[in-house]
Amino acid sequence: MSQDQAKPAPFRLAPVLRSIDPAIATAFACIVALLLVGSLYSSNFLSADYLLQQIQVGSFLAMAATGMMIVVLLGQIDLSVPWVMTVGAMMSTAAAGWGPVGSWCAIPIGILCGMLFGLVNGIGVAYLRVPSMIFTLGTNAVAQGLMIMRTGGAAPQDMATAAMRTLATGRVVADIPNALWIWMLIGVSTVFLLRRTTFGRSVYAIGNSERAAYLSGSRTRRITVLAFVMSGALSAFGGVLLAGYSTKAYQGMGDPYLLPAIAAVVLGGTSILGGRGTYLGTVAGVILITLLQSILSIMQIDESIRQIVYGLTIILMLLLYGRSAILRT
Amino acid sequence: MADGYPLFELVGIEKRFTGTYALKGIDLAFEPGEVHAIAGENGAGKSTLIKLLTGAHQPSAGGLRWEGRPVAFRGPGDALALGINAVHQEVVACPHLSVAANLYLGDERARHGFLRKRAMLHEGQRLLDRLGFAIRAEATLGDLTIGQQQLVATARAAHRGVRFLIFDEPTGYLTRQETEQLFRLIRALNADGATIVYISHRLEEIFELADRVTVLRDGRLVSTRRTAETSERELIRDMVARPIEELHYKRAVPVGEKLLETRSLSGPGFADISLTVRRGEIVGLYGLIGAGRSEFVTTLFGRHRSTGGEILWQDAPVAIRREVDAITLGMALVPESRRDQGLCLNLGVGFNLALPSYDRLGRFGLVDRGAERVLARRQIDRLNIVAPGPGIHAEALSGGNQQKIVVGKWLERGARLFIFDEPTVGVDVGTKSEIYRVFADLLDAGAGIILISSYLPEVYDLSDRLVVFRGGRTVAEHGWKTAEVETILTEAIGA
Repeated sequence: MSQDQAKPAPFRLAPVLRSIDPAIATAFACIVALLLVGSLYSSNFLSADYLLQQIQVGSFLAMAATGMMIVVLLGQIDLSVPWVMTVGAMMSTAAAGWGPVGSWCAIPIGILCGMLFGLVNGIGVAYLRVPSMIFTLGTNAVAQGLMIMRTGGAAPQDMATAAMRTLATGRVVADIPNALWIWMLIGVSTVFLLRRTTFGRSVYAIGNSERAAYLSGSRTRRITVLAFVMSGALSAFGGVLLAGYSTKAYQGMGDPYLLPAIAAVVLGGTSILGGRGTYLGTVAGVILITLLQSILSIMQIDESIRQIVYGLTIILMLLLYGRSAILRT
Repeated sequence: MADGYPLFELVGIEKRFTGTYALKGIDLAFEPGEVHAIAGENGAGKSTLIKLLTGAHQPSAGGLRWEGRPVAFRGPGDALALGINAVHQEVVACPHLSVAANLYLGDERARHGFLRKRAMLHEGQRLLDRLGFAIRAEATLGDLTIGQQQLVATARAAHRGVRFLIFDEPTGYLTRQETEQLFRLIRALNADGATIVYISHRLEEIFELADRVTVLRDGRLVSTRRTAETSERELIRDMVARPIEELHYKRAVPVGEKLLETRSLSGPGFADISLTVRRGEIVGLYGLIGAGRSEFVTTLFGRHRSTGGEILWQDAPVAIRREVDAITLGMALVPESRRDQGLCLNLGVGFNLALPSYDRLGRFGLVDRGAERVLARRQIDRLNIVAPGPGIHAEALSGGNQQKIVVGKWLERGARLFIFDEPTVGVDVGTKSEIYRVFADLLDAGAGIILISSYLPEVYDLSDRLVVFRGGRTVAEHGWKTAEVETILTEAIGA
C-alpha cells in the first residue's frame, strides 16, 4: 500500500449518485430491440404519433412506478398499488357526482384518499414495524373491501370529469399528450427530490443501512412514512389518469399494474434491497414494459398466450441483468 | 500419511480477476501434521488463497497436488470429500436452529428419511463436552455469543474427521478463555494427525501455535520461515515492506477539561461505575467479554436506560434517553460492526461524511451542494482519507479509511467524545497503525476517547488511564503503563 505518498485526488463534481449504470444501458438496449421487433409487425410502430400514444398510456404506469421506486429505494415495497389506484379513480369520480364543487376538487380528493392509504402503510411499517411486504398487502385487501362495499348498495357516479379526461387524453401544448407533460413534471420533481434534498439523501441512506442512518440522526421513521404517503398519492393519481383515459372508474382497474410497477423499477436497475437506483432507470423500465405490452397487443394472439409471453419476457429480461450477486463462499 | 510427499501443495498458482492478479507465482507446500500460519495485510491474497484451497475458486494457472497427485476442484464439495475444511471468520451457520442442528448441518443423522433429533442432541452434547466447551447442544445458536458460535463452528469441522483444516482469523471475537479452548482444540486435532492452516493478524498467536509461517504481500509469497527461527519484527517487515517504527502510535497531549463523568452509574449488566474522561486522553476499558464494558457504553449512549447513578457532561448532570440525546451532547459511537452500523457502504465518501450534518447543509430541506463539497473536502484533508474522490463508494476503501470516515462525520457534527468499540477487530497491521494515528489526531483536536478492546497490548499501550472491568464492575484503574500486563490480566480474570 502506498497510502503515505498518495495525494487526495482532485475534487470532481461527480455527484454521488451519478454513474452510467450497466442495468440502465441494457434497459435502453432492450427498448431499441423492442422497437425493431415492433416495426417488423407493423410499419406504424415507429411513427411518432404511435409512440407518443404509447408513452401516454405508459405515463399511468409511470405514476405508480415512481411511488414504488421511492419506497423500494428505502428497502421496502408497496403492494397496495393496485387498489390504491382504484381508490384514487373511484373516489375522484364519486366526488364528481357531488355537484360542481365536487367535480372541481375531484382530482385532489382522489389523491388525498391515496395519501391516506399511504399514511396507514407508512405508520404500519415505520412505527408498528410490520414488514411492508405483508402490511401493504393487507391495506390492499382493505382498500378492495371498502370499494366493493361502497358500490354494493348504491351506484355512485363513476364517470370521469372533463378535467380528468383532458389530463389523460388531451394535447394542449405542442401536440404532446398532457399525460407526458405530467410525467415529465413528476419525473423532474422526483429527480430533484432524490438528488437535491435532505429527504432524498435520507432515503438512500436508510435503504443502505437503516441503522447507520438512524445513528447519524436521520429521522428514519418520518422519512419512511413520507415515502409511503408519496407512493399512495402517486398511485392514486395514476388511477385518476387511468379513469380519465377510460372515461370511467371501475372495480379492479388497478389490478394489472402491480407486476409492471415493480418490474419497471427493478428492470431500471434499482436494487430491490434498497439504497441504489436512479430515476432514469425507472423511466427506461416503464417504457420497456409499455412497449412490450403494446407489441403483444398488436400481435393478435390469444389473451392467455399473451399473458404467458408477457410474464416470460419480464423474467427473461431480469435474467439478463436483474439477478443478485452469486452466493459467495 | 503421505510417503514423503507434502499433504497439499500449490505449484505455480496464479489467480486473476478480470485482468488483475490476486495471486501470482505461489509455490507452497503444507507438510502432513504441521501447523502452518499465513500472515499478510488485507488484500495480500489470503482469502483468495483459502478459496483456492477449499475449492470455492479455481486457479487461473498452476495446479494443486494432494499427496503428490494433481487434483482439480470443481467446487467446495470436492475439497470436503478429501477432508479439507475451513472455519471462517464470520460464522456461516443458521442462528435460528439449535447448536446440535448446526453441528450436523448438511450431515444429519437420519433413519428412513426421518431426523434422529435425540441422537444428534446426545452425540452433539458428548462432542461439546469432550472438547471442553461449556455449551448446551439444545441451545439456539443465535443466543450464544459470537465467540461461542465460533467454537461450535470449529466443533462442527472437527467431528467430520478432517485431514486439512483452515482457520481464518478465528480469535477475532473470542475471549481469552475461549481462545485457550480453541487453541487446545487445535492442538488436539493436530495431534490426531490433522494439518492445520492458521490465518491471523495476531502475531503472538502465530508464534504460540504454528510450526511455520508464510507471509503474503500483494498476491505474492514473500517468505516461509520456521517460527522458531524468526521474530515478530521480521514478519512485520515482510508483511508491510515499509518500516513501522511505532506500531502502537502514542503521542502525549495535554489533558484538558472534563468531558464526561459517571457517578455510580448502574444499568443492565453493570453496576456502580464511576469514571471520568477528559479532553486529550484515552480511557481504555479492558475486560473479558461479558464483563459489562459494552453494556456500560451502550447505556451511556442512550440505548438502554440506566437504573442508578448519574451522568455528567462537562460538569452538568444530563439525562440521556435516546441515542439522539447523546449525539446532541457531542458523543459519537464508532460501533464494532462499522461496516453496517457506521457506514452506508454503497454510497459515496462525501455522502457518508455529510450524513449527520444534512440538517445544517442548506435550508428548507434543500441540500447546498457547495457546502456539502466543502465539508467533504475539509474532512478528507483533515483526516488524510485516501480515496480517489468523494464520489467513490465507501465500500472500496481500506478498513482504516472507512474508520476515518466514521470519525470524520462525527467530527463535522461537533463530537468531542469518541467511543471506539473494538476498533481493530479483523484489521491488518497497516490499517491498525492508521487507526492509532486517527486517535492521536482526535486527541490533538481536543477530543476525548473511550477505547474498548479485548486486545490487551492495544489498550495497554494506548490508554492514558486503563479501567479494568469484571463481572459488571470496575475492579481497578491504572495510569499509562503503571501496572504490569500480567497484573491487569489477573484483575480481569479474577484469579
